[in-house]
Amino acid sequence: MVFGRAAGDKMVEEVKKDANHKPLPADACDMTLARLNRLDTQTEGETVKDVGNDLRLAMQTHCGVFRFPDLLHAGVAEIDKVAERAKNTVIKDKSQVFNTARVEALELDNLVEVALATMHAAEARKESRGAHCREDFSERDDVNWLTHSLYYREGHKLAYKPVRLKPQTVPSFEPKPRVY
Amino acid sequence: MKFSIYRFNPDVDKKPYMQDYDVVLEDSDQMLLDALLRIKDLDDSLSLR
Repeated sequence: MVFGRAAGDKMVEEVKKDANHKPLPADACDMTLARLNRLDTQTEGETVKDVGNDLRLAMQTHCGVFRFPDLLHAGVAEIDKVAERAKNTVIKDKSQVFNTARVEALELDNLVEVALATMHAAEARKESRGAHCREDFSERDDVNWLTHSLYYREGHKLAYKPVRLKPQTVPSFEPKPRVY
Repeated sequence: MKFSIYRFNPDVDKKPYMQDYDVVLEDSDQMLLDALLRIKDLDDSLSLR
């Protein structure tokens, strides 16, 4: 608790130094409250467990370590379907104390966001990199794909951001394929 | 298999009580945790960690 307080105080101090933060919109809490409210009022729908299992299955089947173009393509449609279903989950327990059913439902919503970003970005990335291996693009492609993928929920838009190759305090490490 | 679980919800209960659950276990359910998760499928108000 002592360290938590000190860390909190330090964060407030640091944040106040930097005036570049955008102001929060007045309705910043609405989305959070809407998520809680949906779970509290929803009386029918699918169980969190069923939707969660299908999310895991879709990711395992379509977006594993070894990746195939047709599977990735089908996976995008599959995970979009799961994302729709996650909007209709129901919990029977509405209590306000130690309610792990609600926590699990909220966690599923968060997992859906990560899964959508992973699947859409993976399908678009036409190369193999790190541990991930695409059957149709087996080589690492630093000319076209030395970029971070940025995923936006609206319209499943993807954008790309260059990788910073010049660290501020240590000499830079030249990117190159790992060969063994 | 039948489980008797000591339960208490401070929102509605004056005092704790025993609740019985009949749950069908699979061969793969080896640990008590497996059984508890099956019970949570039946009644998601059972919180555990």
